[in-house]
Amino acid sequence: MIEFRDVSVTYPNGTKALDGVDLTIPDGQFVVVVGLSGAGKSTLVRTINGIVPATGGELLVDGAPVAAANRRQLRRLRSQVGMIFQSFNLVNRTTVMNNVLTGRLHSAGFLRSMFGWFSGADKEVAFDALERVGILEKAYVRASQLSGGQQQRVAIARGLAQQPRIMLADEPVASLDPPTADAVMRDLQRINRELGITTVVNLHFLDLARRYGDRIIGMRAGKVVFDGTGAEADDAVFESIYGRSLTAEDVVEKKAGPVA
Amino acid sequence: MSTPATTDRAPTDQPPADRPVKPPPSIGTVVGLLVFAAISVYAAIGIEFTLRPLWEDVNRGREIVARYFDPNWAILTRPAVREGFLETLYIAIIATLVGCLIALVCAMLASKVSAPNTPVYRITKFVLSVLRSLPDLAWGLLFVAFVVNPQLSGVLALTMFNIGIVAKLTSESIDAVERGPIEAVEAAGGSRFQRGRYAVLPQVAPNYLSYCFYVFEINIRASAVLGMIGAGGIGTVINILVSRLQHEDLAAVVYALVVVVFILDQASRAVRRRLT
Ligand SMILES: Nc1ncnc2c1ncn2[C@@H]1O[C@H](COP(=O)(O)OP(=O)(O)O)[C@@H](O)[C@H]1O
Ligand SMILES: [Mg+2]
Repeated sequence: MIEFRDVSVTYPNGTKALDGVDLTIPDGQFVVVVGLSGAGKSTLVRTINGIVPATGGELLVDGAPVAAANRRQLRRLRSQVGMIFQSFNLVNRTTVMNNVLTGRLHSAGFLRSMFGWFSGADKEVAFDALERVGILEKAYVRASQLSGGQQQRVAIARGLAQQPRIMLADEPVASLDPPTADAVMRDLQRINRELGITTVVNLHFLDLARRYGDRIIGMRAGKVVFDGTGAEADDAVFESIYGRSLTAEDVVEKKAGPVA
Repeated sequence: MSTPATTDRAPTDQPPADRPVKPPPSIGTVVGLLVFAAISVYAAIGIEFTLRPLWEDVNRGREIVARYFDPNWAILTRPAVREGFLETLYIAIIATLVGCLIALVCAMLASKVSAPNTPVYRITKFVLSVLRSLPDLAWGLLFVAFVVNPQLSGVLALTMFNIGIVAKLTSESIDAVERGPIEAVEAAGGSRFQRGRYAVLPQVAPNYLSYCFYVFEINIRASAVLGMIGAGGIGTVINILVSRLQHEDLAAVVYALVVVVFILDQASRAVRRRLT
């Protein structure tokens, strides 16, 4: 369970990116966060694993306050929270397997991680993660040789290899073409359903948000301005979140037609 | 060559008047060249530079030069010479290995991207710039004075020299790595060390290895020179031959050295080309 209690974030340059956020995300939920660029979505997910420290209020992850964690506790918290990025953030020069094994580092000691001796169990976890996103056969291919959709699946597998309780995704499909974006979202949803991993995904496409979000959270200027189900989030709601009328840029499928 | 497209224009034609005129050289360039020339003349007078000995002593030198064209190849089969060459090679290899390993750690500490904190970053940068301010020969003189074993002093001198170069070049490569993978390792609960090992190192590895081969090339040459000040290797042999005026033997050793250095240089360069 993730609990935001009046959480604020002010960056060192004075930008207030989160402004009194109150949220409770129960275990296993698939939450989509929407909002315009600059609304504070990235900041919101990064406070959950402490990459961005909250400067006000209290944030509890599984009952433990993130702000009170020392460096070791923070690493342990992060090991339980997988993260996926818009730009994949893979090491391109190395293999898919090495990238996925990054997800096992939290349990590797100094010597093991220095020489890259991962245990058989760690490797099995990595293979299993690759199998879940359907690219097991690419394990020993260089990451740079994969397509964008495949690279994002490697990044998902890296997160899965952590065997996390929570998965954060910051605009995971913004760099992908529409069919690939949909497929990657389906992967995230399937993993959420199969493994019960609490998932928080930032999106700016409203059709994807409605299709996949059990719950949609709308953000504007650092505040939560909408919190409800996909069915409740009609066009009027999105217009109020975005503060403007909707355009073709707001949907991933540009063509008219029934949404699958 | 192909003929110009406008063949109807007579070659004596003036170019059109609207062509821009080349601007005169800037004042800065002129002043710079004048200052450079003045300093050169001043320095030449200062050291009483003259080319006269080149032709006045040419007859005296002719006999010695002739002996260099008649090298005594047989000396290369002597055990002392063969061991000298091998020693130079070993000194260069060991200094490269040790120096580059230490340099990698220093490089990680000397880049803002991978340093644990600002004081460590500042101190490492400072220490490295001190290391680099001493040339290899100065390190050699220092260690020859303090270390009994000549080979060890050679290794130590080159090691210090290598750390300075490789750590600087590598830390500059680290400054330019993509930050995304670092954030990913951090988000996965990786330690600072793991961030360096799994997000930074794979990105700079080709550059780093290329720098290692580059200093290896320098080390072979430098090790031969260091031998002359008593740091082991073929330089020691050369030193003895010089003092005994055995010019034919010296010629053979020097030619062999040129060939060895050339071959190792080319091999190392071939490896470097494939790395980046
Ligand atoms: N590291 C940072 N330093 C200063 N300001 C930042 C930083 N990151 C984000 N911001 C600012 O915080 C606000 C929220 O940004 P962000 O959380 O990235 O929003 P979103 O992901 O919704 O686009 C923006 O005004 C942005 O400019
Ligand atoms: Mg963002």
